[in-house]
Amino acid sequence: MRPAHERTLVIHKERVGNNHVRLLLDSRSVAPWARPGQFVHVLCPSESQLQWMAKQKGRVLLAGEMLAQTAPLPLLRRPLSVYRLCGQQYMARRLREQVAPVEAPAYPRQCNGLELLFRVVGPGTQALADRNPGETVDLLGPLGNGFTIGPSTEQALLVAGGIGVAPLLALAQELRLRGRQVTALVGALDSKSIPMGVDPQVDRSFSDLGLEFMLREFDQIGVRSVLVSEQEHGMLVTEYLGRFLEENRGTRYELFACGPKGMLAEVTRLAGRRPCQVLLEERMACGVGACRGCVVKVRNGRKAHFRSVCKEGPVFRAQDVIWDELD
Amino acid sequence: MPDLSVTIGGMTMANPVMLASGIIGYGLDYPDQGVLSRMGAVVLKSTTLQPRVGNEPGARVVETPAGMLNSIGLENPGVQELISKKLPEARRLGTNLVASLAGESEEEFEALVKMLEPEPGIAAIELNISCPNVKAGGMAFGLDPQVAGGLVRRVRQHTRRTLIPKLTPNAADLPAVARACEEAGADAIALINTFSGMAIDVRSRRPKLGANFGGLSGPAIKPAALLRVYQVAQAVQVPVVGMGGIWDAEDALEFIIAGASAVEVGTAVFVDPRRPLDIVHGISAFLADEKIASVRELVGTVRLNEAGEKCFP
Repeated sequence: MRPAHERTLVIHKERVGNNHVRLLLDSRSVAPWARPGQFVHVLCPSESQLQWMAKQKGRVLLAGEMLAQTAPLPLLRRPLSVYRLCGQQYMARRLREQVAPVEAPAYPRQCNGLELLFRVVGPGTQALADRNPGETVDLLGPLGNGFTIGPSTEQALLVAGGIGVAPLLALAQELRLRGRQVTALVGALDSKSIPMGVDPQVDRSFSDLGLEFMLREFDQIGVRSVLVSEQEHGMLVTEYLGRFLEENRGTRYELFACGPKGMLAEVTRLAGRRPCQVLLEERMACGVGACRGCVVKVRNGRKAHFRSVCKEGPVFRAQDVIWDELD
Repeated sequence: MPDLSVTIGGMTMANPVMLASGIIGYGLDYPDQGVLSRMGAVVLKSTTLQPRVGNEPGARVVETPAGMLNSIGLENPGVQELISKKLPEARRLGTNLVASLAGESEEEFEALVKMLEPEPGIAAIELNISCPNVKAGGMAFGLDPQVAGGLVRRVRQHTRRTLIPKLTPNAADLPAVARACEEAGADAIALINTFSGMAIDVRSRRPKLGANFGGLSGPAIKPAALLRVYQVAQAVQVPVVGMGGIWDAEDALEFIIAGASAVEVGTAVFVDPRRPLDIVHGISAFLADEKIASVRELVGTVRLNEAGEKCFP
């Protein structure tokens, strides 16, 4: 299906953790069709900000003027994963598919809820974080292929690095609806976790990612979750995962992971021959597979192919991804 | 209603707004399909003789102030697939299709043009002699007037279609390249492709683009693009297709007033897929407001400041 282009309404905004924002949008055209692991391409500045930028266009070429102004607003859209799906149409679909709805009780049921969770890392996410209920957010979506959720009986093991936790809540929701047992390991401090577009300097200032609230979120839908922070456990989430898999050697797991590439490469190694899906990030322009700006190298048999994260991803079979060539 | 129609060589368009190459692929993934049929023309992703996988991953696109750098490296499925799969679908877009061709040698350009000649539904051919992101061919054809003219002359013999070389602003003497193309038989001149550019991560001391260098586009380059379009329009008789950082109708009008008969919109489409249509409406509203009957009357109507003559010889 072709992605929709929609101006959605902000229903609810909440600052959570350390510099994270949860934004609940009422989305008639995107939310009802979205699946866990898919993303939306978000125009971060508001319309008036964009208008302002249009008036300033080109002036950045003059050094003096650029210094005199604040930095120009971000131009390109930002790809953000679907964090939570809720609301009327979602529930109707759930019922059609004969799985019971799970709702976050705090949210209005009348809307077609599409919730985003993101970390404020630069002017783009800052502009988005400044949007208030009643204002609009322009989206393209749903984009990409979501997670493949088969009829498998393995327990699901979710592994998140930092803000990589965002797409895993929607996934956990779906897995629970299908009666799967789910465990989530959330890595909350990882010096390597520099998501796309993040100034490393900004990233270093996060000594605590403040994702504790995620434990509550997982708890509410019956997911056992562990927050692995260097301060608390003295280890990275991947080290914890290694021990976890060792301790539970008798259990068959299917892994789902999202986080920085170094972490995902390690998760892939630890997963061994277990089924494992990873959600990748890359810098994007179009978001719909047209510009070929966001490719990663993926194995297909013996051959290596470039696959676009936006259209052919963002979820890939972990063992197919050629990690050593990704930076 | 003002008359928006324009003619570029043998291609008649309902309005002067085109979608630039490399932005929407072949149009099939475009989110707002209704926009495409209302464009003057859509320029397809550049096609090479053989499929190309493009440049290595690592960032291929990087945002920069009011713009972006890209280094895709002409990833495309090759001309065979263009003919067998992409064109049949693209024809359904219901607008003029412009095939963009890129070769590593004159022979490749020639072969591409010959292969496309019997294919119906192509209104014009844009010769991409301006891509800054490939090792062989690409921009090298557009830097030198003699090389550019030689290529156009050779390709001209094999096509009756409207032939539009797309030039690079990285050429030392852009008007000379444009004149050489015109003399060699080009029906129009398109410009500009991206400026060569670079961005560096100060922590790692590495270029932000995986390919190190790329092409700069977006609102940041508009004034520089506008000047070049003006200069080329002064230098040639054939129509000019202007582009470079066009964001809204006012930008498009600036290019038209500077001498462009038509414009192409690129990077702005990434931000808002409906923007090209807004530009068409904006041009129409401007003409109505200014009581100008046809957009063609506006082409090249810039009036230089007399005082300026004393500053710039």
